[in-house]
Amino acid sequence: MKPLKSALPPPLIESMFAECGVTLRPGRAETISAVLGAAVARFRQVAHKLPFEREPGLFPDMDMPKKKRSR
Amino acid sequence: MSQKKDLALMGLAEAAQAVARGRVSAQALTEACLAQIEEWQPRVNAFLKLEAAAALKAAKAVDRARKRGAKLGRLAGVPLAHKDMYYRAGKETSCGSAIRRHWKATETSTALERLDAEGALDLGRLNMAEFAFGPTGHNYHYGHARNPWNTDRITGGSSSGSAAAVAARMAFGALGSDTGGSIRLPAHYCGLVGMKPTWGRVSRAACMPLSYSLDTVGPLTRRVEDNALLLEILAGADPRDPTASSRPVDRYLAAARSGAVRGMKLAVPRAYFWDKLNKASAESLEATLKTFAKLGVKIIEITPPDMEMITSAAMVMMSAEAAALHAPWLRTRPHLYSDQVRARLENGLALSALDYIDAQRWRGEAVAAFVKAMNGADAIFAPVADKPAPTIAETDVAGKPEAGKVIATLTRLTRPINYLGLPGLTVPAGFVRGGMPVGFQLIGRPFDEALLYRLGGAYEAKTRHYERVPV
Repeated sequence: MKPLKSALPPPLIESMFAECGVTLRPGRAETISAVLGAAVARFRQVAHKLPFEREPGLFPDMDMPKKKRSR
Repeated sequence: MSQKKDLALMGLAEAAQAVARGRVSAQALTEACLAQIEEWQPRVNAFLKLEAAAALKAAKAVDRARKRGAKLGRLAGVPLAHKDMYYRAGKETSCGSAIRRHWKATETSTALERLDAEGALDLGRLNMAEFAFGPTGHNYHYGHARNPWNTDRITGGSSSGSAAAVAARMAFGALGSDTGGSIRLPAHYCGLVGMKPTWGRVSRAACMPLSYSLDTVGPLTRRVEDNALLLEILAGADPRDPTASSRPVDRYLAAARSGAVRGMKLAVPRAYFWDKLNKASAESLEATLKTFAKLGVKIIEITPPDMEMITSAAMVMMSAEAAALHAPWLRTRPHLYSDQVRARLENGLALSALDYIDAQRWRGEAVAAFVKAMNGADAIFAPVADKPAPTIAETDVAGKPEAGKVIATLTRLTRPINYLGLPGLTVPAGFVRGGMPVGFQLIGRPFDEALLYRLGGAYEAKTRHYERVPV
């Protein structure tokens, strides 16, 4: 499987850290880009397909009926 | 074997019953645990703070109450100890960190209050990964916890001290917490039973948070019935935690003891869960499946949904929430974090709100897909980790660039279940070469903890792995 392009390029990470007022140590932007950026890129494959009406709910299906028991 | 040793080897429910019937005193149980602590603490570093005098005093009070015929709670006189992230008013709670080394809580967690109300004794505060953010049991501020089955090996984390203390028979049970595998992994590595309940089943009031949408509170014990008893006491609605479910609490202890599993159906998802499993673990799990089959459980093979996607979503959610909680300290006191925890906490600062909200929006759909893939089975049977406990040295990656990969490898079979919010029960499956324990996890539908205890209890009654004790 072809690796996905990171969704978080290092310059973006640098600007986010600056925005938060947190010191970004040398090499960290590249590491975050490689690890978390790949996860975000993968997740966006489904996130982009979410229905317009879908609200963020913690567990909208949590109250699904239990499976009927044999005993 | 000494009488003290015999007492420490009892199960939690068995010990509670012995105290209630006057066959053993709470003081004797406590002294038995303290003797184990004296022997094992230098070897496994389970306790951060021992409260021996207070525990003995409380034990004597239980014995006096029993003698005068007072009604005793379900855990009266049973010594427990807990991960150092459950607040107790007026007491220090370090959360395994330097930042909170001398921080004192102003309120007591609902979990501790419920155990206290049943008469449980508290032996002290247990070691844990810094801010519960590490799956190995390394702690650079208080020393690493070590696995009682082989002290060169990890306990797993983040509930490292909980697992070490219960496995070494220093306490009859312990609270852990599970955000990405922190109860189930240490249970697997240390030969214990560990329950990660459904999200919202147990109140998290006055517990240290890590990731609101993933955090769960649960017990680690040596036997399934012990675990069921503790969860039955811990679970239920709580006005102090609006996310705690008001759904009635099932009778977990009765389920664990029922043994009625004939005709039940277990689903085995080979794809993803078996991909990287080592040979010894795979053999152990096949033997376990045969035992379930002998008990009359039907085994079916299923194909799980895209677990890599679920893991990615979990990573987005956990990173964003943990970073939001820790941002003030990351700005003002970053040097007080260990390298690894600081690096992991920082990750979430790079995320956009859009990705985080989408991770929340996809959750229901992912749960529905996973439950549908169960294909009518009562529970899923899966490994907890790819292999038995690795060494402390080989997983000592601190803040190195490869740390992310090592952590992701360790949690790849547990983390997705937190995103789905489902209950997961680790049960010991036996021992592999070198004498290291391995476990399996049973994953259920939301709020199906009783069913998992039923399956786990029946398997345990057949195998009795808890009889083997680390030396």
